[in-house]
Amino acid sequence: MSGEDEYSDLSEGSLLGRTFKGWTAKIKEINKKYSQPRLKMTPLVKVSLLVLRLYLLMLVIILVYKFYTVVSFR
Amino acid sequence: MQPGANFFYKYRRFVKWLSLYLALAGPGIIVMVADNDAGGITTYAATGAKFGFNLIWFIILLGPMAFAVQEMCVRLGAVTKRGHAEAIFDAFGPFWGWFSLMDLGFLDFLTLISEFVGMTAALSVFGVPPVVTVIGVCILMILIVMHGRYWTWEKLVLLFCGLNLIYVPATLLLHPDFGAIQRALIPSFPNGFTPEIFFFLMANIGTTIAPWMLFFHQSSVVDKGLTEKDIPFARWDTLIGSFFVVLVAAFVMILTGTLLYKPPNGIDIGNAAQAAHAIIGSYPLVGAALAIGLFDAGLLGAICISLASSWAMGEVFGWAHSINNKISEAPMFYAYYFLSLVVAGTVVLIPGAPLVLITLFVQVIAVTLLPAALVFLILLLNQEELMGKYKNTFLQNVIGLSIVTMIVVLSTLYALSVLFPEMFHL
Repeated sequence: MSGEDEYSDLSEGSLLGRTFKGWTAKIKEINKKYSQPRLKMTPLVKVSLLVLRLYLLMLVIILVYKFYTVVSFR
Repeated sequence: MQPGANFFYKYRRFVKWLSLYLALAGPGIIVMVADNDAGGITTYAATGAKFGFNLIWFIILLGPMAFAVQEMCVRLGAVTKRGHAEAIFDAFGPFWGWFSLMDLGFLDFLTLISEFVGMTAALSVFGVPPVVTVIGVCILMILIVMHGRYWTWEKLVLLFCGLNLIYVPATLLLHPDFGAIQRALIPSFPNGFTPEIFFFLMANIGTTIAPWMLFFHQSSVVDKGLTEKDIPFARWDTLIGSFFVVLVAAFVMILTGTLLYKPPNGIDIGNAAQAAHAIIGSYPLVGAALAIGLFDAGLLGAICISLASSWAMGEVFGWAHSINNKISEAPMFYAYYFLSLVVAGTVVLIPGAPLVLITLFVQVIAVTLLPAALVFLILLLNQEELMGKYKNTFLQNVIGLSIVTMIVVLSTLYALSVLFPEMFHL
């Protein structure tokens, strides 16, 4: 084995790749572990979560609008 | 039973209760006192300089509000033995779990920067260069956790909580007008309900309930190993903490209200360190106390905020995540803690870093997480399968929902006023 091949697995790209794969696998594992929400989805819970989503969407729109006004008036 | 024996029995019972309380006390006092972080002290100092004693009554109202929210975190942590981040993942699934975790990580990092801003500004009053402050704080915070014992960590942090009370003697040195303070306890707006006063009310609410508090308190209850039977003690702990939060806030207001407020319109100050600079010339002891208190507030905030994120990450990623673990036993947990500290400290040292923008941005990002965390809290506390007999009662729900609704509306308006001040004529 040449010296170049010997060290190819330790190159930066490979290390980053392994780290990335490790994190992706971990995130998938977490998603699988919590895939079934334990909270009973009563109508009240569903409505609360829907309102929360709408609220967050409104905030995102406001932030995007603010960003747009800052950029366009600069 | 004879009266003497009865008294002795009651005394013994009280001593037993007190010693048990002292063993279990900690999380509630720490989270509440740390709530008066650098941003909080700046808000109270600015409120006092602008409105004198006129808004002290409002601060007193915020104490019970903070207690009601944090008490729910205590119950949730003691019953489920899970931190808030893990509880959200488990109950609401990955979407809300990741949203909360990422938002918390980002928000805590920005808040950590604002704590470093406060600490460097505070020590600059004594001529300490920012780089020395940042390095010193990082070393101190590493030393606080590196012995691997929750008990030692907690007692050390409680010492810093005690230092937060420095505002009380400092204010008393000024012989404030207690008659005027007494009159200020009656709710009123002497100059009318102006947009400016509304902005300050919202800012005070914004600093009283912060998202990291929910995550920190629940995780620290779990890390301390509190269980259902400890809930009454943990309630007392939180109640005493909420008393301290109000006490310190009120005394900061009285301090700047006595020295800086000029009726009828008061003066504007940018931060508490600026107030300390203004005061230290004529009242060296009081100015120094204000600066020391600001540094301590920033330090307490930094300790709790960096731990809130580290605990949350540890819970979700399955890392060992207890302060009872040594660094070698929980490397990822401590790595996250140290890294967030060092990076946040470094940002403050970057010349021309947009620190004012970051401080303002914290308020905006907070409203993306706070309503969600509070709604999750209420929903979780209503699950009988999860909470059993510790679930919210009807009255607790009415109080909790009223507080949550008020906080959500006012913190959203505060964020809007930061983004669009012209909308509020500020």
